[in-house]
Amino acid sequence: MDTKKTLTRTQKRNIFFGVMIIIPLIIFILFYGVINANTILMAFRKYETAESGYGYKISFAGFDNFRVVIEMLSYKNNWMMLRNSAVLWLFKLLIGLPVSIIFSYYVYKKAVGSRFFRVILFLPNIISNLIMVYLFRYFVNNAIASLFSLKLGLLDNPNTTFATILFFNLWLGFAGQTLLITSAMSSISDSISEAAQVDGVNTVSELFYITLPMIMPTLTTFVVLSIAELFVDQMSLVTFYDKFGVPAHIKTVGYFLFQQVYESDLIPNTSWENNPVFGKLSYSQLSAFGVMISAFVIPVSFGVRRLLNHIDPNND
Amino acid sequence: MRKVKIRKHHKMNVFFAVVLAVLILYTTLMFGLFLLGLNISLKHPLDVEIYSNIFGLPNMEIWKLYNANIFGNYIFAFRNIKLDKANSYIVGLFNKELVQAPIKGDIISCTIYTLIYAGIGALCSTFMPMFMGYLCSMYSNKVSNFLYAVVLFVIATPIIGATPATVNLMRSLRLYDTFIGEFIRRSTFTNMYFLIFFAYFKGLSSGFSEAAEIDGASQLSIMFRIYIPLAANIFFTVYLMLFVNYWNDFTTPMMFLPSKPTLSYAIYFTTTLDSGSSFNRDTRRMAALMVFAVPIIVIFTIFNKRLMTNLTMGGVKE
Repeated sequence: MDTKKTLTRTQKRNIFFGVMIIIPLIIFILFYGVINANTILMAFRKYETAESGYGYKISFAGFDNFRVVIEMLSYKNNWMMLRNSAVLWLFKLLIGLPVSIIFSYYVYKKAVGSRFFRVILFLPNIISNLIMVYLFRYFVNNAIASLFSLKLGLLDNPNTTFATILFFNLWLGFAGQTLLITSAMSSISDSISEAAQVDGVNTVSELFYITLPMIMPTLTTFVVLSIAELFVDQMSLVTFYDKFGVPAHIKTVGYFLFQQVYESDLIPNTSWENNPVFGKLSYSQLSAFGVMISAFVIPVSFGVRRLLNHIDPNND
Repeated sequence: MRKVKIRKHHKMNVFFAVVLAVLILYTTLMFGLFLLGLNISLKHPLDVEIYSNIFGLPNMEIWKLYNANIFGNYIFAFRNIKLDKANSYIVGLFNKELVQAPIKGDIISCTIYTLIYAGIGALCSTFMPMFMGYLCSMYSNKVSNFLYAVVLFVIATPIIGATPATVNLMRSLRLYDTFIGEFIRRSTFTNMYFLIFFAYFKGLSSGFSEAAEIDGASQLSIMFRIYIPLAANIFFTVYLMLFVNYWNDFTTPMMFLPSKPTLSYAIYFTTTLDSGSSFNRDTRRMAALMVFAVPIIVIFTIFNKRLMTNLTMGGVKE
């Protein structure tokens, strides 16, 4: 009798579960499975205008799209977008993350004004990038040029453009990180910190030998997620420049992908092969670029996660 | 009984003094930029362009000369945040069709589009992870375990360059440039919010559910009347964070909702993208951007504690 009742309850629950997950599953299959499968398919396809109507003629392109992407990257200074993305990533990792850790430690230790600084460090999270970029752009181009009687503003001067935008990205990058790192630090038991202080450990040693090892899983997540961002980060270039007029020497891969997708189509008006200066890559070629980047980023991301987990003292 | 307040502030030392100095610089730059922006937005365009008055206070004489007041740029912004251009694309999977969708909007229609996009979009993006988090945590079976593993895989596997395929799919399904399409696209559960809701529901007692079942409650009632209200606090925090994100986001509407321009898209277009627009003057741009920031500053003032809480696996942590 009991078994029958339990079985009926289980069945009811299973039916309910099965019915409820149908719609979320369809959305997931469509917007994750189909899209990613389609990205790979498109990378090997060529779209041409159909002879009649608005349809497309699709043919197998082999590795042609990949060849075009490699040609595009080796054309003039285009390879610099890879370098710029890597430089941005390195700066965020080697300067941005350590500074965020120090700021977070200051807030976590409730040093002078920590509550106020916590709010200030959070502000860029909610203020639109559009506003922050414009205020900063005006400041470095007009205000600084006027203040120091410079002929060109820091953004207009090609020698300082990249460094200025890099600084902006680092400056705003602290916002999200500080809140998350502070929260990870707050989860450390007070007794550990107090015991260290009783043993005479100073502030800096406590940070390096107690706090950092204790928040290693959070830092690992930051580093691994940053690898995914490596070729997605637009460096706010879309907002920094009018009409997509970004100088070639400061473009990043993230910006390039966004700009191309926005301006191109399955069949672009002017293809890159016909006009390397103003032409656009087709959606198929952009998909091939995406596949190439993912093929690099996915194994690196998993490798770094394994490496960091290996050196994490919490896993001993 | 007298309450004793314990000061938890850490003792100042050289290390903290250096960090404090850097933080003061950071704050000065932040406030300095906003003050500079506000000051510029109150000046007549000629005050800046001809008299190079960047740091000084607004020159009222110039405003008077043109029969306008100090809020002239703001009035201009309200009247002139406009989009009027054309867009065309091909839709349909088998029967292809050319759609010509005009991109039109003023400050009122753009605000309405923004409220729909951010309000309902954030609702979809919050509800679905909560819904699936509840189902996977409360109905432990092989499928729910598999779905949990799928979410972990999706989060850990960065796939780049899927936007062309997304645009292509949306156009094929005739969902491109429609709010319905965008909300469906936003209703995914494979993100970190799923993990937060999953951990939260997992930590709740199954006793409520068993007691309700004995009283004859349906599974749907148990979910919507008992468990989901318990997660209201996390739900509202996630919703608020996403609402702010979507309010500020201009790249997604630009890419996926071109004929329904949101405020951020319209402001981006008029102040940055359209170099021929009447907003091609710094004072007016500043005013438009300040107007755009006001709602978010109001939201932050009211809900700053909630926005600054950190969502952890299992709840909200201040």
